[in-house]
Amino acid sequence: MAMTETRPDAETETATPDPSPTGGLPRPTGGLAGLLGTGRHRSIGRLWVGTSLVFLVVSGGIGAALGAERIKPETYNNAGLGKDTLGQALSLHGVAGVFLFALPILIGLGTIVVPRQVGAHTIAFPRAAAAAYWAYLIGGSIVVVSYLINGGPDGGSQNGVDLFLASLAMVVVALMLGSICIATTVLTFRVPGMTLARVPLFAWSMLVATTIWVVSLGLLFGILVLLYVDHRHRMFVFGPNVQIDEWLRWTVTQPQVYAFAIPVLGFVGDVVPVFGRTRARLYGVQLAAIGAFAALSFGAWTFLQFRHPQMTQQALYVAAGFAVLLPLLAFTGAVVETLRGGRPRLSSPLLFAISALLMLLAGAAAGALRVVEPFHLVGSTADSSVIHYVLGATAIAAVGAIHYWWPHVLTRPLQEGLARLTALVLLLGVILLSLPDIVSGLLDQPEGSLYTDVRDGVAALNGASFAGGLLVLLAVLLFVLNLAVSMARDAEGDAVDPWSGHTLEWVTDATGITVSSPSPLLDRDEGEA
Amino acid sequence: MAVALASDAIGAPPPAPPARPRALLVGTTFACAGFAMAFAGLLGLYAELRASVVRDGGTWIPEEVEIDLTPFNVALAGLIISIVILHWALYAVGNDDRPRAYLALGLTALLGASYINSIAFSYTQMGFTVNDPTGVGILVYVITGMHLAMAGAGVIFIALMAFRTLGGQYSARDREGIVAALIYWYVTVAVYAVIWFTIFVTK
Repeated sequence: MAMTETRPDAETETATPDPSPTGGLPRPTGGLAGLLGTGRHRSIGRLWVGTSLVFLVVSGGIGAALGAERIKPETYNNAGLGKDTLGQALSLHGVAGVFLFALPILIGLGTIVVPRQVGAHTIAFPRAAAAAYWAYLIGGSIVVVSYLINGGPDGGSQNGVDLFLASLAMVVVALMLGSICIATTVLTFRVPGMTLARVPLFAWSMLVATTIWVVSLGLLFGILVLLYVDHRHRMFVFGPNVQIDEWLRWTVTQPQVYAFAIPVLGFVGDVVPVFGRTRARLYGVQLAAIGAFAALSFGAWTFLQFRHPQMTQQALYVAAGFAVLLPLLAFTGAVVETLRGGRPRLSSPLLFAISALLMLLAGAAAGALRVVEPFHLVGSTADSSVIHYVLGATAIAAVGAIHYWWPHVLTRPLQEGLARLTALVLLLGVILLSLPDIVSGLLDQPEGSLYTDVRDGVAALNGASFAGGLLVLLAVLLFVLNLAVSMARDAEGDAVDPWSGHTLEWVTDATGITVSSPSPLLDRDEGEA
Repeated sequence: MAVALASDAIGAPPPAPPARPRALLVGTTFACAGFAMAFAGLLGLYAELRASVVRDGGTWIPEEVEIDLTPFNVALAGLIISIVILHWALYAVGNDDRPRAYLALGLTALLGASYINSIAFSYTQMGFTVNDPTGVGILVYVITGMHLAMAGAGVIFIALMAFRTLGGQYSARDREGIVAALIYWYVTVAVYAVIWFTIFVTK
């Protein structure tokens, strides 16, 4: 009997995984047919990750072009990209960054890692997980095509706008489906003994994140259907093409934008004790902090904020902007406590983890600053600063996760020196990309709109932000180079556990391993010693 | 010739319960949460727009639109009865009473289909159009249309579970699929109850 079919609350405390390498699924065929028909969670996850990185390049490239335009803010709407395409470029940059990169790469990593972390050999609903990926690939490609035919928000082609709305709805459904598979895996496929209090932090963070994503994306799906019907019948009751972005805006502003960074905490929480060479301290605090952060990042209640601009000044909105800092600080405290009690080795995954946590903290701090009414930062470039900080943290954590879980994602290790350089360049790039926007927001630079009244220093700040964007792209190039170098090498045998990990994804066979704490492999090693 | 010993029959422990990871149940619950949020958002928008139109002294439901409550009341009653019948199906499967289980599952699917038919027929009677500048027509069609799609998916879900029961997958030892269908159907009916009150009763 497959271990994954055992009830989590069964009396036995011993993990007994399915020894078959395919986890009970039919052995896959090779080639294109094997790829198209695969139900293996690792293969599906790799497809998610690879495709999302391609969309990152699309989003990043457009972001760089927008950044170059902004160096001369007084001609922002008239040069280069042109007045007509500026709104579409801004929209594609955001849509691709969030719905085609950030969420998909996290779902991909979750699809690869989460089943193994909970001791399962497969993901729940593997066919649905595969269908989710293919729907994402097709829908995401059509989203990009819809912009190319002058569609998308602000587009001039009505059919292109209709196509955008329909294809984005398809992507949203795909993301929901992928999320449901991951959440169900954590809740139902855990090995005996692994209570929710003992679930690895990444799996826990994916559970709470996917829960928030499913309900938030459900709302977004409803809105997209409404807009599609409205635009398809050319009624525009809910706004013309230029207003579509306003209906989507809540997904990339606080608090909802934080929801795309919940798994960052899980990644940090899993990496720190391994590289701190100690047990995770204050584990319950970390679990609670991730849960609280997720709850506070639920932002569907702000989806009508563009109809009620005063919402951003209301007590609940302001309180939520500040409250999100509390679980982050509690989590950071637990991480520092873990590192303090161990003997840290500064390998690349730890560098990525610390960088990601710092950027998330900076994003939350910027968000708290943004909701302070006297600063008048809502609607300024401070908005993009928060988004860039948070999505930057997500990108750093995602790249770090690929480095950390390379035996699952890549099968070959990445160059450690190049990885450290990537982490540092990425950190510097995100800081330089995001920090100047807060300052220029204080200098009244509006977010992505006509701007003629330029104050001193804004052009320089925009130049610094542009340089930060280029550094992020450079880091992506370094990462791709590292991947290419790694893939060119022969596989180095069975490197199952290169880091001496603490959780179940680092064993091929969990038979006989008792799960009585969040670190079952550490328990086993200490028991053997 | 084999000799059956008394201990073989009396002393043997009962068979182990089947492995039930309850994945379908949990996955269905998550999907229902997503659906519920979609309707919550749209109904919230409906209430918000209606309130703003009424506040400005306008008319929300166009005068040429006539909403006769009778078919919607009957549809709601039918859906509530279908829940009771689905519970009967669950009970029957729990008792391995297959004929009644098939009957109950079939009746539930039939009531679901009749609901779809009644709402589709009401579309031809109400007089709502999408060419309404207040957006009420678009909202009504989107909300009720999405619910029709949800109910249609529910009917397919129930039919699928009925076929699985027919194939022996669900029995007294494992009713997970039927329970999952029941949860889905509960949410479908609950959403319709909110639609019924928000759109058709309070207008």
